[in-house]
Amino acid sequence: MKLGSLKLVSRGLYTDEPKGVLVDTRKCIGCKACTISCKLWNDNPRETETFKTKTSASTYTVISETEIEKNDKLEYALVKKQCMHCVEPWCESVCPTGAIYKTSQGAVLYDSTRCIGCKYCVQACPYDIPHFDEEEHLIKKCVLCTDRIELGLEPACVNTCISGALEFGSRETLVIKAQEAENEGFNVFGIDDGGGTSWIYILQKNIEPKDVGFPDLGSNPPSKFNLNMIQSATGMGGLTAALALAGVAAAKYVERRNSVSESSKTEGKEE
Amino acid sequence: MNVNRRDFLKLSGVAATVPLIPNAVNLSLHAVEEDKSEKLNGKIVNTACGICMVQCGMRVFVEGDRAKWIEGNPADLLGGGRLCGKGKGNLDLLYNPDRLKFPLKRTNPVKDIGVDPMFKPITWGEALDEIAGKIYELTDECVHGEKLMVFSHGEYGWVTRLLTSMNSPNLITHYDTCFSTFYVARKAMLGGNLWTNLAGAKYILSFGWNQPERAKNIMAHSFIEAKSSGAKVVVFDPLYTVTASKADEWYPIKPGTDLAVHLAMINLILSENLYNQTFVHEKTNFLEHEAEIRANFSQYTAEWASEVSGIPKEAIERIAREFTDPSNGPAIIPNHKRDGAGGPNYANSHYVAQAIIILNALVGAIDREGGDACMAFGWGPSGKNTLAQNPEKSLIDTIFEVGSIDGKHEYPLVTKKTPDRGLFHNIARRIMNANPYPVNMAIFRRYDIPSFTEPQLLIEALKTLDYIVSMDTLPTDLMWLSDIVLPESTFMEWNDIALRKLPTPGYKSVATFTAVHEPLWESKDARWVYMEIGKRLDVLRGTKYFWLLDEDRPIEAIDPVNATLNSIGHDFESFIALPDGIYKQKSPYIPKSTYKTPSGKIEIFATAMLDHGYNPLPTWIPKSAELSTEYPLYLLVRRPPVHKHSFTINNPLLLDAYPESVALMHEETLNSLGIEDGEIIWVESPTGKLQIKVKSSLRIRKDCLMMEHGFGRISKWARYAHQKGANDGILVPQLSEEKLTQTNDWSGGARMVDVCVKVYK
Repeated sequence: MKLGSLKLVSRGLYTDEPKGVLVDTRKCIGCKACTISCKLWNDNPRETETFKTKTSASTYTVISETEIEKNDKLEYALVKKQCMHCVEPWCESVCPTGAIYKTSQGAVLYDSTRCIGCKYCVQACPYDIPHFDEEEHLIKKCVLCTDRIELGLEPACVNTCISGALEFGSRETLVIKAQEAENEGFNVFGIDDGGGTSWIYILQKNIEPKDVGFPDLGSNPPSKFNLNMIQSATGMGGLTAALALAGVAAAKYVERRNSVSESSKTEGKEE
Repeated sequence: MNVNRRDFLKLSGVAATVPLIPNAVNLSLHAVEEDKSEKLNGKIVNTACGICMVQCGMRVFVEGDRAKWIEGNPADLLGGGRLCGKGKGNLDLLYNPDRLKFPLKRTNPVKDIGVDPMFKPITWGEALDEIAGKIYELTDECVHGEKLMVFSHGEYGWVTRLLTSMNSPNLITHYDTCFSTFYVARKAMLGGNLWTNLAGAKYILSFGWNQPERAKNIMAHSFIEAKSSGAKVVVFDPLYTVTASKADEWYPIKPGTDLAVHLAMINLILSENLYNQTFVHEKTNFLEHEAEIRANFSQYTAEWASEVSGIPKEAIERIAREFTDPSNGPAIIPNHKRDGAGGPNYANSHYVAQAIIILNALVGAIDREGGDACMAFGWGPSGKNTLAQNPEKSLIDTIFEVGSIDGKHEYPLVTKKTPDRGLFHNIARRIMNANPYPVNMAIFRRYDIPSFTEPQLLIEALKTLDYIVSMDTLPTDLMWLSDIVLPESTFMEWNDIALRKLPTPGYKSVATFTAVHEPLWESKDARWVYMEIGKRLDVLRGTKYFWLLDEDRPIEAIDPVNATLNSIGHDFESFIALPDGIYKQKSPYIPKSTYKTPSGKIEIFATAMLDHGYNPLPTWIPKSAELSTEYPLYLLVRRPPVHKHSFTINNPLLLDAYPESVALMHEETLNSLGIEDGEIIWVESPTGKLQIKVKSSLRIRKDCLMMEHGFGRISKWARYAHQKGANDGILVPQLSEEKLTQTNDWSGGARMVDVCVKVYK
């Protein structure tokens, strides 16, 4: 990294404290500049066939569109969806190997070297976010542009939001702004839902979180190492089951991933 | 576990963590898979986005010979450091695998859609020699230059020089399908082109204005800013647009009847004397024509407008009063290209353009002190090279003397106000009917078959020509019919000035297009191509139209750029050395004291229209197509936020975000027809029919069908765009001249959605 570039691009936003993004859906125009910027930064594959309504292993963020008639008024709600970077992540709570972890900056990250491919995180997430890439055998999702944050930059999506609907900053500050909107009668999501999220939403007065697909989680965070989740996902019981499963899955997973990476190398050479 | 990534990398780097599953650990892997920050290595090239006319300041991070990242230039007032999705897609344009790479020459003499032209690559020298030779041959040694048509999107100056040097008027552009209505109305009534500036607006009245949904950066941003600062927004639109969804009030007006509401509003404002008297009396020609003006509008009551438009009478009256109430202001009706009501959409759109100017004038929202919340003048530098030889006649004179193949001579007002503007609305029939004379050759630059209404007719017309050249960056549908295909480089591979038109009140601001690297493959800049054709014709004719007088050498593409930048004390080299790549100078926005109109004032009573035999004031005429039992749906067309017409449709990053056009219809209408969401249906108008996927919605009138423009490409060489969605132009007729003259239409607007359709499975 050349220092010259760094100085110019830095907006001095890096501080080692929990961060977040405030999504003011009142300002969102659904232009998709954010989703395009995300795909560009992450070099994710271009899928040109169908409209995307949900995130996937190759699309970390989408704009969800909701048309709804409520209280005699038609609403057209545009809501950006991506990993919420929970304050106490549901995915982390079920990860048996510590592959998913929360940074002090607020991002929920993933260490592929620890992943055994059990997909509990996929099951546990109330927002349907971690996606298991079946080809690369990796979990893929938004990482809050941790690589950019550490350079003092905003996430790639926030960087280009033309209507000013996305605001990056310290979570604490954003929560205060969201609370102000809530006091004015606007619906909000993420301040304490499911224990709170780093992405916090201000919705129209006529739009409740459930109208735009947010789950009703109450304000309790997930309990750590969520055994119930594992039991329900595996049909086995208790900690023993989880650890046993983790071991078997790990061995198979590593074998499979090595074979995939070998075959992709071969394909690369042939090209 | 509560570490940040830097700590984690440190830890894993010294293998201090104890892996839970030892076999799975590979310390050479990053803990975070998505570290992409190497994109920001390398140099920053400050440039501008060339996708739309706003031309937002843009910076590109370039390492070696590869651009890695693209973002808005924070120093730029217009872009504000942001890029819309289209701008963010620029690298997928620059490195698009389908880019035209070499000049291509047809070897198969049989020309038709779907018949392989059997192209072979040739050199630029061969291509340009052949093109110049063909022009010379087919125009009888440049004596009958009118046999050549140049359809050029941009570079009007060089094409005009090329054409007028051989007495040809046939520069054909797309303006009648885009904004000739409001552009010409502004020129005629205000003496120049003014652009909406929403900053500071407190009351925004939209008639189909929907720039936020089209993601026009500065307009979307300023609208949201105004709204967030408490502006009241009222929207009239048959579609519940994004703009409507942010509005305080939405009226799903019957398509093509906005004019009725305008006329009734003007009548009420005049009869109750609600207008801004200081502005209207001092700055406009109202007092000189007061009796005629009042008489013209007096017949248009709110009751009548309500019957025509379906908008409640009380709403029309209340909104007229609110709009003019100074305590609600500043108020404005924003207006931009191809708005629902303001573009050349309907048979009455020329009067809509006049009416919107009048309504804005009545509240003083034109050229306002400070430039905010009004239609404001933009600014750009200008400078000229002196050339050794100039054409004897101007383009305007040539058009009227020779007659233009697109019929511009029949629209004197359009032609005098905007000589480089063209008419696509009947070009196909005119070519086929040799009206006013036979043509035999066409050069296309960045126009393609989907740029035209009734493309099926245009294809037949083009097949009658002897020789077709097409120049573009990505493969076009026109390639099926082209003799020579020229690969044009992108604006990211040129050095040029970005001639930005939108106002930045308080500042004069200039940006450049700065090449991020050499043009890829054999692609070339369009200016260079036109100049090289001109230079070859100079040699053939012994002329010096493309020769610099002062320096006694042929002109090069950078010369006019330097001449323009000289006027602000720069040349290209010194400009790009500016630290943030933007020239900015404080310059308070001062309203003009006189306007370039016959009276020197803002002309509510448009004497320029009267002088050309048109109505000086808007009067009611209905749109031309009405619903019938056979065609029971109004057609609406919009541009998706991530695409710029057909130009971006083969961009994989943008197609990823918006992959195809759909037909949006109301849920209840679909239910009544037994059509399910997502089904493929036929949409048919009296002009043509197409197949498209239907999308069920609540946000459209039950008697409307909306399609997105730019899709339905038939070029087999454009792998991503090929046959995605459908081309709405198939449904829209080329117009007959009789139809246009019947309605006293000075604009020649192409009536892009004055069409009714039916649907079936």
